[in-house]
Amino acid sequence: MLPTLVEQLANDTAGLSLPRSAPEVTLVVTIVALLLARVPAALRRIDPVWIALTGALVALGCLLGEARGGLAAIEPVELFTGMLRHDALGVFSRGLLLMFLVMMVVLSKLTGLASRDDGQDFFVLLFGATLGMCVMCRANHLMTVVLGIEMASVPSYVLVGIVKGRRRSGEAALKYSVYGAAAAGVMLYGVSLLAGLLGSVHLPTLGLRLAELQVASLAGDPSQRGVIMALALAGVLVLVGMAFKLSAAPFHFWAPDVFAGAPAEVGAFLSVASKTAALVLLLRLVSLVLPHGVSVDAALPGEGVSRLAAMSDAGPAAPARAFVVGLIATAAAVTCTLGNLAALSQTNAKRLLAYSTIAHAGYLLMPIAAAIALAEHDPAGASGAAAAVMLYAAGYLFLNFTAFAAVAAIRNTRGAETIEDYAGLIRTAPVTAVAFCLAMIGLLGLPPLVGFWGKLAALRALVDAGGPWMVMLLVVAVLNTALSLVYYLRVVKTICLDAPPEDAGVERPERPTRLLLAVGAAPILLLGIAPEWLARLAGEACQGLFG
Amino acid sequence: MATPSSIAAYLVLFAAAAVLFVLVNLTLGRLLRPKNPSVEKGEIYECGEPVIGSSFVQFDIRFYVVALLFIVFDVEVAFFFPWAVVFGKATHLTATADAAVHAEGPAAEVLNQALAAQLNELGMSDAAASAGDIAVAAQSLSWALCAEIFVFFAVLMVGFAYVWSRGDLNWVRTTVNAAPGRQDNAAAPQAA
Repeated sequence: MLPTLVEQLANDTAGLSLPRSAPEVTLVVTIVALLLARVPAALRRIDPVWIALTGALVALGCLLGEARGGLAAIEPVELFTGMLRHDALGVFSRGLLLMFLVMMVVLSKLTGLASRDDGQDFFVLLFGATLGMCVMCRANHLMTVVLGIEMASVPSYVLVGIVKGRRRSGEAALKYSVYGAAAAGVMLYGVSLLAGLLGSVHLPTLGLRLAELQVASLAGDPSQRGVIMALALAGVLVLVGMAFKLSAAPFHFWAPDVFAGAPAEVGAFLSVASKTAALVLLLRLVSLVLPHGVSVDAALPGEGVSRLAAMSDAGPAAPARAFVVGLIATAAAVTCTLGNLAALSQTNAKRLLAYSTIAHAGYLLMPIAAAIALAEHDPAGASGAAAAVMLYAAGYLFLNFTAFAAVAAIRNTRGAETIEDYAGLIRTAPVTAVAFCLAMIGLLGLPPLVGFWGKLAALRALVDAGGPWMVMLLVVAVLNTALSLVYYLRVVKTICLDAPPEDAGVERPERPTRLLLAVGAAPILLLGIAPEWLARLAGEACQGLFG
Repeated sequence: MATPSSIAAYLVLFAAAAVLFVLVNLTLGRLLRPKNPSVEKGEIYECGEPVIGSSFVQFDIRFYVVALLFIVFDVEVAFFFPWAVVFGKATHLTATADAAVHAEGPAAEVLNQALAAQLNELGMSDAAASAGDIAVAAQSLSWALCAEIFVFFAVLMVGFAYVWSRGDLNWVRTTVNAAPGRQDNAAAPQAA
């Protein structure tokens, strides 16, 4: 037994897992190299940005190697004895994260956030957080879920306060870490309840146990009501942790202060990378833990069937599914509305973007609710809804990156971050202004920009799912989009129509910064005109996610 | 039985007992103790020494830096303990299995029993595998563990070297001079 065990372990680690984790290994090696390059005096002259850029590009190259045969050809397989899951969704989402990492490295160098002397601090934190997000994207075990979230969160707290000596930064970092610690504690409690009630920590096994539990029949039994209550509590607590990472209501309070206090570059990282990873993790949790496609023929007990059980005619965990759909749908509707309403009265650009981030968390949660609702009867439709989430997230990456990069560029040239100060930017810094306006209109979701297709796919998933919750979400989403027209277009109007201030001097950012803004903004338009490629990739990534 | 509702009941009971314990003792003390306060009793307790100044002083940030570094390395060392247990078991198993392969007669019998006992401790009953196979497997396991800890420790050392070369371990790195109202002893920390 021992010889076979050791042999299996060696095969699993060296033959199966490590080759499929090359991007993560590259990130780790880059972190060590960044620190090591600062120790001997001879190496100290190397600008850390080159090491970071090489590392990020090699990691992205390794990932493209994984996706060589196309996303559809990737067979789902469990790595490291079931800790991680290697599948198309993991490859797609990590591809987004690593591409974003490359863009972040370039941006932070160009805007001067990562200096020649202290840049390694910023890059080490950035790479560490990305590593944690990669773990989140492939989590297959409650331990890697918690570990990934913590690995992504702890460097983020420090990143928020990376600019030393600024009171707002320090305040934001402290608020973020206190909120984050509380959310992590709550989520850990939920995780421990889940593990204790279902007797496993392996996500697919959790799903099987939940199916065996016959939640519907338990609900009818008064003596088992405690189990149902504890399960519901566990679900709520785990979702609290996810809502914090997504900045979804009612756990969004940290976002405006953190985004306003942190440098704009860090804001871009938090709003895009953190959110993408959290969305993928949420998709994994709901697709693996909530059982689907399990045909349990055992008839429900004839007598004393409760109302809940009577409603569910299909899966064994239908009440659990309905419960989670209700929770996520409510959170999505509230998040979206609150974010948009609060954004209306903002004067600071970073605060405005923070509330816009909250609103988009709401839009992004809607198709997830639809996916869970669809998974009962229509697994292909559910996978389609998940693909809508990924399409939206991919478009959102370019939109928010461009918006925050433009804010950083304007901060460096005009030294201001309030929207009034952006007046007449189109005349003094046309590239920045056009990029920012494209991002704003894209976030609003007008065709022919990439934001439109994400929103369309999300709304279509809602229509496909049907039912009272989805109709409610549909109405909320449409009303909110109309509402967001006001504040997005107000920014565009200030930039394009208002007169520039009298004393405006040289305002153009340097050529590399303009180039980066153009590179960030071009996909908004190009992917908006030809979205088929991205939509197909997102579809392949989510194929078979719900069985 | 540990049903969820009984767990909640125990938690409530525990919390109530904790609150009551403090409240009852404080109230009891208040009722029983004699009341004759004096100036000496109101002073800050300093192990019998005369008190110098207020206890509400600002601590230097340097203490926190050292404390943080200590915690980082302390936690890292905590990771060594589970590793040491597994590594110790693996090497012990290698030694026993090796001895069992080379021993003959009654000694082999004793060693085989010891081997079975050790495997049992690890949660395995190995009737099928020969002692030689077990020795090879346990040896490769211990080499892998050895390599693992060296990688772990090397990464830790890189962090240590970085912190050291950046001067974060230097004791005198103070901003006391910049603090207002401290001009009178500004030179002292730099002389230290």
